[in-house]
Amino acid sequence: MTRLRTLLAVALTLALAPAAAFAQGTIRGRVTEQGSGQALQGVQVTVVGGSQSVVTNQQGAYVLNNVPAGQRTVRAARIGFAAQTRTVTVGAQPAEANFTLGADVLGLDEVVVIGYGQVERRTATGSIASIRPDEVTQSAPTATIENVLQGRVAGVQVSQNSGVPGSAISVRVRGSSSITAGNEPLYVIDGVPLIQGDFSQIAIGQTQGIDALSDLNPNEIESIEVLKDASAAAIYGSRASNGVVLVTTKRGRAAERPDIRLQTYYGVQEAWRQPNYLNASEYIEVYNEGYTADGEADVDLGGGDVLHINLFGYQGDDIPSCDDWGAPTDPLFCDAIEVDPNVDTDWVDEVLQSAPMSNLFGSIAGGTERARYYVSGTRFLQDGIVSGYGFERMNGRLNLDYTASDRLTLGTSVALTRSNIERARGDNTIYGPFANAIASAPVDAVYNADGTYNLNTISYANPVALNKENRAEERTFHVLGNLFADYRLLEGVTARANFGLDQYSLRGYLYDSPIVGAATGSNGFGQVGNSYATKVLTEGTVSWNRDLNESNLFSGVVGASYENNDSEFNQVFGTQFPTSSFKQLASASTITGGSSSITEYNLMSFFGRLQHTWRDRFTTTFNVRADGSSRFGENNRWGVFPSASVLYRLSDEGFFATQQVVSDLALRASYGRTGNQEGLGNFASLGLYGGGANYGDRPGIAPAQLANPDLSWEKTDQLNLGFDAGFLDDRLGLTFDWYRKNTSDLLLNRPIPLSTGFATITENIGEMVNKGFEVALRAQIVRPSRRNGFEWTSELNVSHNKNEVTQLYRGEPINGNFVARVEEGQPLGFFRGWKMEGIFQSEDEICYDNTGATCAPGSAFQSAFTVPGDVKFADINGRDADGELTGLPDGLITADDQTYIGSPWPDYQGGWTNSVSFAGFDASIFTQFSMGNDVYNGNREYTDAFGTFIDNNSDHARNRWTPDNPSTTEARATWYDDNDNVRSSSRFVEDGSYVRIKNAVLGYNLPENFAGRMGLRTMRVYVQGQNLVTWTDYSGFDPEVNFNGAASITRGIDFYTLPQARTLTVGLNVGF
Amino acid sequence: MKYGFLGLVAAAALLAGCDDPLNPTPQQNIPQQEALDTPEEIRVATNAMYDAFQTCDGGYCRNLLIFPDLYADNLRFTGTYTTDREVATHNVKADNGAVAGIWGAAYDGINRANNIVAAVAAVDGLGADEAASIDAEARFVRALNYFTLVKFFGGVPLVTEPEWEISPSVNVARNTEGEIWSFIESELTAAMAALPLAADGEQPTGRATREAAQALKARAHLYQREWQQAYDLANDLIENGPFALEDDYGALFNYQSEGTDEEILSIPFTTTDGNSLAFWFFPSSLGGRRGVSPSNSGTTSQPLLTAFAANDERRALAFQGSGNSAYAFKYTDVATGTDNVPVIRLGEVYLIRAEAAARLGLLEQAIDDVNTIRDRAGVAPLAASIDTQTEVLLAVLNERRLELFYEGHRFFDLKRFMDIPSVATYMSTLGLTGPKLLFPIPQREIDANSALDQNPGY
Repeated sequence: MTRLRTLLAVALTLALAPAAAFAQGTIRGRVTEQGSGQALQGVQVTVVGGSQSVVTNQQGAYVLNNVPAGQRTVRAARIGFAAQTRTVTVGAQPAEANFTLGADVLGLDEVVVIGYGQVERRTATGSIASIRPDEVTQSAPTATIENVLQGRVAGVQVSQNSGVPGSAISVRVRGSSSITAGNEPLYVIDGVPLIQGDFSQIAIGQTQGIDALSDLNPNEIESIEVLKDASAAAIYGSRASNGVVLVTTKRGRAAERPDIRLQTYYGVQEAWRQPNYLNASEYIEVYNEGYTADGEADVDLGGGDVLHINLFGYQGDDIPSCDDWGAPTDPLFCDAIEVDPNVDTDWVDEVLQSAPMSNLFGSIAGGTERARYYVSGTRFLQDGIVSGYGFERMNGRLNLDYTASDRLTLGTSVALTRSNIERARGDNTIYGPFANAIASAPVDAVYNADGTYNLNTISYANPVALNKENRAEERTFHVLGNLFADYRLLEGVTARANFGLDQYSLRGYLYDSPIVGAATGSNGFGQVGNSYATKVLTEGTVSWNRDLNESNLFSGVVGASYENNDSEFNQVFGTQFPTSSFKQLASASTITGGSSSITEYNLMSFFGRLQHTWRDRFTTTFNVRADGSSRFGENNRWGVFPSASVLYRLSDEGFFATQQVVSDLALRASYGRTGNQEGLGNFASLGLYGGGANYGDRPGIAPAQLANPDLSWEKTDQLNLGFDAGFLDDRLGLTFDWYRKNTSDLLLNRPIPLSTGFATITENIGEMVNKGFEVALRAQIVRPSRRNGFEWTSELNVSHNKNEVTQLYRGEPINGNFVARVEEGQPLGFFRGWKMEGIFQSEDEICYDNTGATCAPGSAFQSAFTVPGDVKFADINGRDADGELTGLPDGLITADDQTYIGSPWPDYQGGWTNSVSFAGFDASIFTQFSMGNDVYNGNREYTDAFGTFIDNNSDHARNRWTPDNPSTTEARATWYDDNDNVRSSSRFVEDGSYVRIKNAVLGYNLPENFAGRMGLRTMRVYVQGQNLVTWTDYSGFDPEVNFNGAASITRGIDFYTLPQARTLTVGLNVGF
Repeated sequence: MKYGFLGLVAAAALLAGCDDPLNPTPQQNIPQQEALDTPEEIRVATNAMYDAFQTCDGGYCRNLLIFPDLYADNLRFTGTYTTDREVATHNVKADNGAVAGIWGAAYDGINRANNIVAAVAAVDGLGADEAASIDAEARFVRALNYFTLVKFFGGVPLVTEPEWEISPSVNVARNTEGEIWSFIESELTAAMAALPLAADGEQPTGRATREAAQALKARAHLYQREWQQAYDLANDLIENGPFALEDDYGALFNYQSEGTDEEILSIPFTTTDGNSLAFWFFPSSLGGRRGVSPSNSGTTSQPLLTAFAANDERRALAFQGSGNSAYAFKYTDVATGTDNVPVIRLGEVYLIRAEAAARLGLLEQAIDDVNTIRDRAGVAPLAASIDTQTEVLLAVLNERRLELFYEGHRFFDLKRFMDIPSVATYMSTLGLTGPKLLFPIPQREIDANSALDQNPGY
């Protein structure tokens, strides 16, 4: 390292020395808009192949100083306008170059960031989508980078998972390509791959995870590129199978005066929908009915006397009691649970709240041709719509660039983030405030008469008390930085050294009060832990971009990189707190445990790209990367990932000029291989003994895992065919892509017989195919006839992906949570369960032969106690004498009768944005949709267990089967549920299709002269609504749901998941 | 120049890493090949064999004690876990994860022991006595685990060698019940020959002794209906062993003062390594979750709540509270779960002798032993009217229930007494007949091991 630094210093000195020796001159000029002729501000004017770059001022003027003498090409570019170049001769006199820019609806002149470089959209051969967050966030503020992507990019499915503030959001680029190794794309920010994933310290039920990614602030981001096909992504090799998201942050530009921006918004969030649950009297009715139906209510007093006792009775009523009957046989069971007739609690109402969110952002950017800066700071605050949740984030960023000489540019990017995530136990626990609010009986009061919490609830721990007394908090500090030096070796050839650091620290804190919840028995429980993760990147590249002659342009890059990743984890827990006022672990009198872990992996890579463009028409690109990873087994240490692609711009051919309809047409094809290594444990290929198998406080070591020296990455071979077309003078742009991704060598934890002492071994076994297409349409429906005239643009993207798991170990299925399952020939994580056929209406329909032999066709034995009102399940499979599945009904409902009952994957999904602007006003409506996906409403296993679990029931109970109400959809009330009506079945699968107005905004930009009078450059006020309207048939809180957000297999399952909020926001942006 | 630069970066990359950046050494593990070659490693690996008994899904932390009572008539389901519910309703599905946990924990322990048996003889520096003793402990651990397997599942694959390579040979078919029993017996015989005596006090708490092997062997003979051997081993232990009945039944289950002369082998639990029994017993108002509760009249015709005489000292451990809200109280450290859990204790050995005696026709001996146990619990001796063999046997069965509830016996006891018609009838009212007398082989195991057959009826 030190040697390298010395060399760099020498290079720097050498580079600076000759800089002064060259003759230099100035280029100046003005940029105007085609048509209106008005000055264009903010146009980037650059000397091609040089380092000089400035931005035009309010009058559209620019000056480029210190340009080396001679013939120079100057390029003027602004987003939304077609770039132009002019060639001038720089000498003693200032050269002049003026530009008139026309609209670039298709963005063909935009610069697209690709792996280790950038290209113009015109010559991008891969399938790459670009987003400028400013275009999104300016109109619709978003909290995270994933929110920016949601619904805006064809083929990218972003699922919010839940309404938990600060929780992880899942992103799928062209479907899922892995079962165990993760399906999130690789994020690279300013050239540094990010630490991703959940380093949470707090185990609080299978709840929503957090993600280091949520520390990124969309306000600081200049552009996001999503690399979707192998051609674009292969240069990231063994980590690119799930696509790559390249994030480029904003940087300062030379300008006359700094660009200062202040942006703020404030919003209020509330649940957009609240399903109904039973009130107290309905609740009592259902449970008493269930209790009676199963004979539980009758106490045999002997001598033919039967005492009828309900499960619940109202205080003060004449509840029959054993005492009324003299000396009963069993005094313990003769009393109903007495409830207060005045209590009727809507628990969901008790925990939901209307919650504020706000953001304050300021930035200053500017500089000279030599030194440029970008500084910004943000504070984002969001409370949860369920009290107790919250997210607070502070970001600071400093990006500096220094042009030391004509040859050398140095730069750095430093981002600091502190975030604070207030959490609560959730989902799959009995101490989650939201889960308990849904489940708690309405006959329980929130508070006692004296104002204290009612802790003597008959069902679950009081969710209001849980919320107020217990804490779960994670605080992160994230440093992300890089330092780079660009050195121009020759005209068009640049070397770059890049050093990156991503340092993530997380402190988790959990406190369970002695008053309520999990720790009442231990007098309080506290847990504190820290996670540290570090990624250090050392990287060098040489890139070139040279015209060989008029018709042949070569560009490319070669490089090497080395990445060291380590992570540490430690935690301590204790119990026995003095009182509920002492919430820190220091007060715990018993330390009940602690643990720590440390692990690392290293990645060494060599990569290159060669791109050739012939006459602007044919572009071919080759990429290759070789990755050596310490995670791979010793027999498979290095993986090579090549790709090739070609682009043919048909519209440049002469014959194209003869027609007016199609203004641009380019065909693209690419093929290549990428990999995925995220699922590999850092030492997963080794046979190991581990510690921690302690016994009676004496240390122990035990077998930990089996060796697999062949362990390697997952491989995805992707074919992409597509075209980009512009119609009617580019007013209508269409991009179409078709792809097929074949993933093989999927990492699976192959189940091995437990009789070996091990449960699984990680092997490269499975295969999966994703096929689909993406359409992105952009239309300028009304083109403004003058500046600030009426303009209407519409953007639509639709994508379809079909996933199929084609090979598993010996064809053996894998189960996820609830109904989620992986099976050959089915999409990943499809729903499997029993098929509900209806409700038994009479005993004649029920078969009571527990061998199934005499069951009438179409009927089957379910349980000995099945009665009318129970759910009838389909008998579709059985076993022969050898125990083999026959595929035929066997008169018995068993586990074998489970089958496909739905899929969480949509047939089509996408987004549609309409924006209009006129005279300073602008409005946009962004609609997101997902069609054809199912949701498994896991809540209903409990809320629709009428009269069974003491849980409150959903309003489906109002239509439950009774002899007088022969429902064909809802089961009867039953205390024992011998028929298992609530088993995982199609009864709880619902259509999860939705169309949602994700965002609607109405804004007004003050006229420039008016703003100018107030000392401002720009000023914009807006109101915004998120999740304003949702059209769906789903009966739960929210169809956009994943109870286990981080899981690969388990998708589209709702289990006490916090719903998303509807948000109304007002905002103000000013620029100085 | 440009290639030089590239090389430089590559070199820097190498220098920045360790000696062999693609082969870092794990800091928390050791390679399997080198794991058991020093005396110290063998000793800590010996501790780890017992650690496998402490899991909740499949060990003494929870299910091994709760399931036999929940499946029979001592406990009822008051929780939310489907795995428990299936057990309580005698509707255990082959994919029940907790049942797979019992299977997995047993084989995990067996594998840990197999590794030790395979390695211990070749370890340099370990004295012959210590090596023999550790080998005997490993055999005891294997016997206890196979005992668990055979009583839940019937015949199971007999695996006695460690396996570090996955080949088709890991697909072991089920051995017969008889083969498992004879393996258990031979292992216990071997263990009895080399284990230290409890009386010597050398063996740390919670580890096998010669007497523990003997007691377990007595129980194994009882299960095989080899009454004479069971009688002899139990008799010898009672008459000549170093153990004595604790006067106060409650003191056997007091986590605050552990260690009585009655314990033959208990699994120790500590603050950092606790069990979850009290948590699953206690109601939420006391910080528990009450996933299971003492049976009441709604769940069985012979609820545990009404099984005790009013003055029975054991009643207070069977339940606290009353009615629907009664909760189990035998293990009571809800905060940290440090109750040690008996694997076998002298009280049970008395009842083993009683049962064997009754079967052998030594009715007086049987009645005496039952009364010894009753006397300790403060209840009156058996009525003099109990005098036929069947009546005495039923008294033994009942006493086992009153004495050994929540210790993982009830279902297997009832099953052993099913040759008595009234017990068989009772079992059928519980729904425990035919295929229900064995648990299903875990489906995941059948999926993973092509040589396995499922028990009938699943």
